[in-house]
Amino acid sequence: MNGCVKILFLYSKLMNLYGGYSNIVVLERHLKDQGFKVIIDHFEVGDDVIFSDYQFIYLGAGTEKNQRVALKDLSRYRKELKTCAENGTVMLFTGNAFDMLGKEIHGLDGKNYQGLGICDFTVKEYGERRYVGDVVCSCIWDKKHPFVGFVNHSADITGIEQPSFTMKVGVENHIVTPYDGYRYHNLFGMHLIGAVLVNNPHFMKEVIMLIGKQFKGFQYQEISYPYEENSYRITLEKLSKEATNVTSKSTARSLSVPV
Amino acid sequence: MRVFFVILISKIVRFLGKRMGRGSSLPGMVALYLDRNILKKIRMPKYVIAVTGSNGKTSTVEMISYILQKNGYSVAYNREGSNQIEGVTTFILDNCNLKGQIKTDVVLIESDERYARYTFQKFHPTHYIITNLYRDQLTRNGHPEWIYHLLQQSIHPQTQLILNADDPLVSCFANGHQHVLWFGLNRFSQSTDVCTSVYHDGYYCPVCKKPMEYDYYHYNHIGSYHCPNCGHHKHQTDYTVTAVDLDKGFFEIDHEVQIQMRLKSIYNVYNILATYAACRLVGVGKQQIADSINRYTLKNGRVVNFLCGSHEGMLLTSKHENSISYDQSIRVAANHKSDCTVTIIIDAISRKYFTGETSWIWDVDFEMLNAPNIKQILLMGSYCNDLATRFAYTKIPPEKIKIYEDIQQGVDFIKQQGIGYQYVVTCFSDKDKFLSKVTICREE
Repeated sequence: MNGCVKILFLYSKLMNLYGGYSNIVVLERHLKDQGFKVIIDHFEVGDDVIFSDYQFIYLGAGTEKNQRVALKDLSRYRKELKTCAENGTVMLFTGNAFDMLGKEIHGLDGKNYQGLGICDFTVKEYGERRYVGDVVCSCIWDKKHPFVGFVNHSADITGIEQPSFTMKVGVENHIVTPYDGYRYHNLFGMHLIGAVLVNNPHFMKEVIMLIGKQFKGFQYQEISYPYEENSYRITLEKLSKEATNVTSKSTARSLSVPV
Repeated sequence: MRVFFVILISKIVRFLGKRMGRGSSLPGMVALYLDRNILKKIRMPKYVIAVTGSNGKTSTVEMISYILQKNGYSVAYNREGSNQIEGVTTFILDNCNLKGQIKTDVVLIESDERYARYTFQKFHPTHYIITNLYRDQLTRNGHPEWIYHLLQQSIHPQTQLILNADDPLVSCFANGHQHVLWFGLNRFSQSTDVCTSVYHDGYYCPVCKKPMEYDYYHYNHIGSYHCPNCGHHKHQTDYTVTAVDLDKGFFEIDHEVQIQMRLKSIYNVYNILATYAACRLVGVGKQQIADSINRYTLKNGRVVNFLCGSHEGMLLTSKHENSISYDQSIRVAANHKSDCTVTIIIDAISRKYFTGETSWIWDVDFEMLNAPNIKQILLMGSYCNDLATRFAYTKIPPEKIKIYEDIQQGVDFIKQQGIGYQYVVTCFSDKDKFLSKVTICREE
C-alpha cells in the first residue's frame, strides 16, 4: 500500500459534457493497480473545500452558461487554487474549463468575465462558430508520444508564450487552432475534451507518476492495459492517415464558417 | 416570369439528376443561385408542418405523412432526408406548379437543427414540432444549449409551436412565444424517482442554472421538473399520454385513444404522440389517427429483423455520437424476456465525415446490459477496444464479453455459439457491414 490519493472532481454535474468523468474512474482504477487507496470527493456549486488536501484536481468541459456558473463559484478559491498550482498539485482542466484559468474571458454574450488568474492569458469566445475537430498534437514535455483527441470549443486564447501542443493534424472539414494547451508546474490546461487520460495512456502514466511523487518511496510499476493501448494505437494510425497539417490559414478560414 | 423560369430550371435539373442518380440538393442549389429568395415567392398551403429536434425527426415525419395521406390529405415531404436548405428548396419546388403554387394540402419538413434558421428565413412553418434536445453528434453540434441558441433563431412569432413539455430545455422555447401547445407523458410504471442515466442534463435549470427538482423521470432528463428558484416547470400538456404498458406495447392518449405499437419503446410513444398532435391540428379525427397508426411498422429501415445462422434477431439502428439513441436501443434489449445476445458495432463513427472521437460511449448507460437474460455481449468493429475499455468499467461479468475487431468473425461466432435472440445495436454507417452477412427478413 502506497498511501491514499485524494481526488477532487470539480462540478461533475455542471461541467460534464463529453464523458469527461471517464478520466476520474479510469485514473482511480490505475492508481489502485499501483497500490494506492483512492478517495474521490465531488465539489459542486456552493460547496466548501480545502484544496491543499488533494493530490489531483479535475475540471471538465461544460456549456458556456455552465462555465460562467462554475467560474463565478470557483472564484471564491482563486488564491487557494493558485497556491496549489505553485506547489505542484496535479490538476487537469479540459475543454472550456481551460479557458477559466486565464485573466479574462470575453464572452460570446458580449460580457467580460474575470478568470481565475492562475495563468496569464486572455480568452475570446465566438457566438457563431466553434473549433471542432479530431487532433493529433505533439507535446513539449513528451516528444515521443503525440496526443490524440478532439477539440470542441468556441474560443481563441492569446498570451500563451509556450503552448503545450502543436496541432499536427486537423481532419477534413474540421477546424482547429494551430497551437493549444498550457502547462504551469503540474497544472495541465487543454481544449481536448472527453476521455483525455483514457485515450492517451502515456499521459495517464505521466499523471500517475506526478501524483506518485507526492508520496515517499513511490515506484511506478509498468502495468499493461491492452484495450487502452490498442485504442490509442488505432486512433493515432487512423487520424494520421486521414488528417492534414493545420496551418494558420485554416484557422483564418474558420472565422467565416458557421458550425 | 422569373419565378416561372427558376421553377422550370429546377424541375429540369431535378429530372436530369434523377436519371443520373444524383442527389437531391443540386436542383435546390441551382434555384437558390438563380434567386436567393425563391422560397419567399412560393404560395404555401394552409398547413406547413416542420419537425426538428435531436432524435425522432425522421420517424415522426414519416408517421405524420402516412396518417395524413391515409385520411385523404395530399402531402409533400422531404423523404430523402435532405433537411438542409438546398434539399428543402428542391423538394418544395418539385411539389409546386410553374406558377409557384404548392399542389398538396400539406407541406411537411424534417428540418436539421443547425440549418432551420436559414431555411425558415424564407418562409415559416405554420406548425413547428420540437421533439427534444439531447447530446447529439457533438463533433458537429457543440452541445445542446448551442443548438438551442441556433434553433431559437428559426422560430417565427406567428408559428404554432408544439413542444415536448417533458424536456426542460425544449420547454424554454415557449418563453416569450405566444402560440404554444404541449405534449407529454404522465407518470407510468417505468418512470423513476431518481435519474438513472450516466449523466443528468436536467440537474441544473436551463434558465437560471440553479438545481432543479423532479417529481419523476421517464428516462434520462426527460420527466416532470420544476425549478424552486425561477419557477421553470413542466407545463400542463394539451396532448397527454395517460397510460402506458410497454410490455404489451400499448398506450392511451387523453384517456380515450388507444394505440398499439410494434416497436415497444418509450421513444416511440413520444414520436407517436407528437404525430398525433400534428394530425389532430390538421383536422384528422382521434379514432382515425389510432386506426391508421396501430401496429404501424416504420419504413425508414431503422429496425431490421434478420436471421443469423439459426438465430433470429433484430438490428436497432442507433446514432453513434448520441448516447440517448444508444440508451434507447439498449433498453429494448435489456427488457427482452428470455435469453439473448447483444452485439454493439462501432466501426466507422459517421457515414458523412471522419472522426475518431469516442468519448460519447462513456455517456451511454451500458450498465443496463447487466441483466441475467443477456448471456453474451459482443463488441465489434475497429473501435472495439474503446468499447472494451468502457465495458471494463461496468459491473458486467467480463466472461460474458467477447471482442471482435473483424465483424465477419463476430458473425461466425454468433452462427456457431450465439445464445438466444440476437440484438444488434449500431449506426447507419455500420449496419450494412452486419446485415450483408446475415439473412434479412422482410415484413409484410
